[in-house]
Amino acid sequence: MAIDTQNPTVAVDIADASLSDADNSSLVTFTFSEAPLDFTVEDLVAVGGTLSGSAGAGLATA
Amino acid sequence: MTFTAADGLTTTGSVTVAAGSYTDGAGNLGATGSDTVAIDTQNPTVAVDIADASLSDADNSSLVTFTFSEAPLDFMVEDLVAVGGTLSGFSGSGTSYSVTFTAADGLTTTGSVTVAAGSYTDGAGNLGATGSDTVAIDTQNPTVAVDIADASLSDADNSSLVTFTFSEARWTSWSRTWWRWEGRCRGSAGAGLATA
Repeated sequence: MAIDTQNPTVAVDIADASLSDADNSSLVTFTFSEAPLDFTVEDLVAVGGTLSGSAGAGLATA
Repeated sequence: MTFTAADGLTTTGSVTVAAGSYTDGAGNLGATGSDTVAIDTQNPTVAVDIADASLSDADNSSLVTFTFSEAPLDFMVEDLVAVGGTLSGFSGSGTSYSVTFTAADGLTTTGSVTVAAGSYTDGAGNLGATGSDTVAIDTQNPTVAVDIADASLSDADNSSLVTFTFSEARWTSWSRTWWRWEGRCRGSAGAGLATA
């Protein structure tokens, strides 16, 4: 029988290294080890800013 | 997804996926994941200080200092606006700069030195806020109008009142003149702007 007790992981990447008034936004990507179920924007916590934009699908989500 | 930094911050921002907020197809709970980003959306500021409180012909120039909240990029004398005088000797580095303000002659006004808003930035490219200071300028030379009341004098009317009307009350210098003059005429001094 198939066993899967591996917890999925996610790598978060804020593309820009720094933000200022001159460039105050950055793309953020989420790359999952396995395609997640029920991943929504409500699963995210942002500090120092706000999140907007579109979701992805499968393993990589922008 | 796009992360947009809030304004007026100097901090480390982050985006975190909460642990257990998602699952894989088999129902295993997802681990957390996070990344950070340096945020500097704080606009730099500058405090301008004209050292002297007032300027006149006797002391017509003053040091002006500029103290920045963060070391500015591209701050230069062209970023400054001087009213009532001229600037020279611009220098400085880091968060401290200075220049000399010399008042123009013949003025009675409020002079000022202003750093124009947005004329400099901090290292992150945030536009600088304005800063300014003022100084009272009086480089106007006082004048005096002398009037001998009578148009002509004779034995029948051999004396006349003489009045001195000053543009500004300058009693100290007037008294020196008066004592030199006293040997040659009789009369009494006045005070303030009109002197008899």
